[in-house]
Amino acid sequence: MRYLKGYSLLLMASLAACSKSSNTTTLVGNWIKRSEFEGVARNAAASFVIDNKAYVGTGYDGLNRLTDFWMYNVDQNQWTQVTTPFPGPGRSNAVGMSINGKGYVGTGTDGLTKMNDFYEYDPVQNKWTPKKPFPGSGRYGAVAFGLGTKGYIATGYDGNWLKDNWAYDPATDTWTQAQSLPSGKRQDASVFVINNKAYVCMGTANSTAITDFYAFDGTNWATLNSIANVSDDSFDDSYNFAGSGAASFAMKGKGYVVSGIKGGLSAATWEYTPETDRWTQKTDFEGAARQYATGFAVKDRGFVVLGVSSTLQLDDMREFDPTAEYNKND
Amino acid sequence: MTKRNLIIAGIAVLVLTCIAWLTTREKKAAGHGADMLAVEVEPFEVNGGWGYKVNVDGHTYIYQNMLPGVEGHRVFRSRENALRVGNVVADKLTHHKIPAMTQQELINMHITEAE
Repeated sequence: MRYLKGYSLLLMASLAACSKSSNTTTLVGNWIKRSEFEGVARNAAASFVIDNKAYVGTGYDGLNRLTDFWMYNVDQNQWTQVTTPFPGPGRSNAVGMSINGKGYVGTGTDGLTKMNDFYEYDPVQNKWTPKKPFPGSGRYGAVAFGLGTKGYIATGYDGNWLKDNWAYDPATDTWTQAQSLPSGKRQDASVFVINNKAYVCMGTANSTAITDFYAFDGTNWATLNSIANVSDDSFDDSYNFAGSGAASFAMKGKGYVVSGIKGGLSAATWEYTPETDRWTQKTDFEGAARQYATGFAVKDRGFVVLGVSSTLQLDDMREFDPTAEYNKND
Repeated sequence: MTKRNLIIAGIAVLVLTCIAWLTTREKKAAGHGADMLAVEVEPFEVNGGWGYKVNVDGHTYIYQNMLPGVEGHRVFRSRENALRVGNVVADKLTHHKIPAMTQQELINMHITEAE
């Protein structure tokens, strides 16, 4: 009996030792460490998602511009190296997008040249095919997104900051100039697609963070509320996240912009609700604040991988669950 | 319960807590100190040929069910070829190099199925 009491006391003591005081933060959200991408650490990679698999490749490891491409299986948490898009030197700050079950990568820089070549990836054949080059100026730091049966490459830097927008039709392998952004020339912007609309935000030009925010439906750009405290209303009083080189993704009907350069490196995570055109701050990114990370969503699960923090190339992979309670121990 | 029993129980709890604390502390220290993770290569049969897994700390980090960096879904002809290439990848990983292979590297290793 006395042992029983002793053990129950011990149990209570250990329970007390394990429990943590309640969180003081009111932000909601949870970053879960998903995988260590050790050995392939890089920043400014290109990515696209096909059939619940994320493809991530190219980028800069601090020494070399890379050509290798990898497929990430979120269920198995494993990487498989696929074939490379192009022979010769690699590149960073290229763009990636998927259209109709195929992946596309183009533009970017090898450090000297601003590129305009463009490639298609067929996951069934594990094969890249060169396609009609991007007809806009060679550039890096653009954004790309697929809408319906077409893909778009917009903004970027070709020596000047840009706001032009080009549509690619894979059925005919042709490019058409589409409507440019109304304003806000920029590089290193973020984009996420919700309900067949592309939301383009963030970015930088002339060392200034761009606050113009637009949505593109395939034909026209709609001007949304700026991501800065510019209105007389109170909703934007806390908007302090304008910056560049952030990771972005959309899941469950909302858009997310994570980390990036906002003055300095920032770990902030902001969530966009299209119905109300409002942003909400979520729990900060748990990993090191970083620039040029890759964001993507698979099966309505958001991931942020890779990136660079100051000069340190990062290799970690984190999943974001916006509805979870923050748990700093996972 | 007598006073003596209470004291004995109290001491037992203290001692056990201390032991538990010391053990977990040592475990934690060992976990943090071990920056050398085990990297293992495991060939496996796939699609009438061979592939390899590179396991890091017991978890499959690279699952290579086709020739890396080569067009198409080609497989290694033999267990030995898969193991040889897997070992090069593991070597790159442990030397903090990008663990990617090029077609040329495979050809240089006389992996003729990559030609």
